[in-house]
Amino acid sequence: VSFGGRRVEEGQSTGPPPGVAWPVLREDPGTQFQPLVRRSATMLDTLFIVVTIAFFAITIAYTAGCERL
Amino acid sequence: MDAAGWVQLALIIAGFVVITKPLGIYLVKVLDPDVGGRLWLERWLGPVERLCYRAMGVDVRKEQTWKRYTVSMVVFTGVTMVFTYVILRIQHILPLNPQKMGPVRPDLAFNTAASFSTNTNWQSYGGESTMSYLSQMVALVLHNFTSPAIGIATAAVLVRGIARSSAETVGNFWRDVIRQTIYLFLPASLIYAVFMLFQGIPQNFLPYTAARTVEGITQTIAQGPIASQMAIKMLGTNGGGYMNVNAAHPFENPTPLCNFVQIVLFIALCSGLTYYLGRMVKNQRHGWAVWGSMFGMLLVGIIVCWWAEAHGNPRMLALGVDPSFGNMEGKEVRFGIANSSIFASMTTATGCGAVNAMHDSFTPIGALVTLGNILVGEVIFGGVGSGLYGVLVFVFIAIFIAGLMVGRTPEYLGKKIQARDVKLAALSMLVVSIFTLGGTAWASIASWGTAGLNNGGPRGFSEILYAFASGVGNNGSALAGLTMTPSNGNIMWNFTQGLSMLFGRLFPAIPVLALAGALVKKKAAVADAGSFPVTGPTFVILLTSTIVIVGALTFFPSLAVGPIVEHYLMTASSLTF
Repeated sequence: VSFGGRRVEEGQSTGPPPGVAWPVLREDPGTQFQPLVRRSATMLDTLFIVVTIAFFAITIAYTAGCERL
Repeated sequence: MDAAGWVQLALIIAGFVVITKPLGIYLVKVLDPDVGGRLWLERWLGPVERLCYRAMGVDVRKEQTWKRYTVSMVVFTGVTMVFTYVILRIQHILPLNPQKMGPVRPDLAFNTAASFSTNTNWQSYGGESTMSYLSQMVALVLHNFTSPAIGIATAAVLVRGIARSSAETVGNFWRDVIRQTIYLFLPASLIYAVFMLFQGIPQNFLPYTAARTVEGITQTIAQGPIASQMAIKMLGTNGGGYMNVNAAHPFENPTPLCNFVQIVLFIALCSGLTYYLGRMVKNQRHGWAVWGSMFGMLLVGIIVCWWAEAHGNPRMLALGVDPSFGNMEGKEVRFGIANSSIFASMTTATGCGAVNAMHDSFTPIGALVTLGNILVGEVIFGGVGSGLYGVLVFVFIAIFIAGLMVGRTPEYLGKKIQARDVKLAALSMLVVSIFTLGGTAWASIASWGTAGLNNGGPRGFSEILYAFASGVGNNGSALAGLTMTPSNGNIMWNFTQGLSMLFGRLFPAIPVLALAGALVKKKAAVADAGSFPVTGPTFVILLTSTIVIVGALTFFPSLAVGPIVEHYLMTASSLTF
């Protein structure tokens, strides 16, 4: 069979040859900074900071609710 | 299911059983020195502890009520989460970035900050292709230390609520977190990091290496300060990997010995906390009974998952695949079926979330076990601290049910369980199912939800259910195959998942702290012949049944349209999706 472009005979290891590192994927398009996101970055930063603060404010209110339960 | 696998399983169980008692005793000394006595490490690290208090302006001699404790926890979590968000957004202008990583996009930074601050460590990114060394070492590792400390502190508050009688205060948040960091997590991580270096894990600030392979192609070898992060990743049941493929990568999990130690470490503190419970409530047999219930469920899960993976996929076998290999798709050859199944079962049961195999490649029954471990509420040892307080909530419910059956006021270790206590316990459980099932339902019918799927049909549904279960349950492992950070810039997966992690962490924890506040005020009565025994097989069976029945009643319908129907489609039909 062929494994990563290297022909492997029956009984032979399919791991990397001695002294050769395992391959590492570098391409990860999902985490690149896309133009659409770049344009709206400031707006999104504001949104997420506001959402975070709002969440923790709700959490404090929830704490008060648990006290009154 | 070969003999070598059974031997490895036995060694892993022996490993964490042996350290349960010494770790439990150590935890009592760290968290409650007035009960457990002074730590020998205080002789050297005591000045550091006192310096921290002075720098923060905290008077740790003053204990807090449950409300002040909760506010301290919420404020600390919120501030550190914003700190992480900012670091990730500006990492491109900060030092220790030899690969010139750009700023993390806003939705991903929000998701990651929420994920790490809640001890979930769900990763919608590949670490080696997204994060600078500084982001890994400061923005993320900060939470790897503080989030498990907060989990253990919350559990300690509930245990103090049970153990103390006619009191008002439940401890001091800052003291609990700092003592754990100085006397537990930092020393243990230092020793473990050196062991990791010895096993071959890199620790450097070098740029990635461009290597030419024997096939003649160029590949990039990612590296960096990895060893120092592996210790706290496992010990704190964080699970967030330095590399995208987590513990399947040879730089994160290079040897069989390393794999063994990692498994033992991520269950160690969860197991030791049950001994801490027994020591604090002066009923060691109760601690072991809780441990026994968790262990029984863990062992059943491991064996079922291993059996399913060892028997493989019948459709593949029909094509002539050697049945002795089992289901090797998505598994590292060097770990094999047994080590992958044990790791997967234990990482989902304990709330760690690290993976050494692709869970999306597991058989439907194997995936059902990993999903089920999370859906019962992360109480099969669970996350550090959160597992203990989660199972204690079930103890309250179990004793309440037992009290109803025999017609007596339910009583737990001398404390009467009243209506408000049961309401708080029920609230802590209900919010988990609301956010898990609500999020799954929304994503299942929304275009943004299904757009990220790698599979159709029941496996696709399982990917969505798993994502929300893992987020709300603060596990962090993924069935994978789900793209949460699409290149079209859609933010909904990262946004909703980030929120689910926050709700899943704080909304069950706060009723637990309120419950502790109610319990600590109660006077403990002396147990008599009418008190429900919280030791022995009857209690273990009652507790286990309560956990399984509540979990089954809540999540069985969703499991039925996910892994269960997928299993029957695989074995008794020719349908594909």
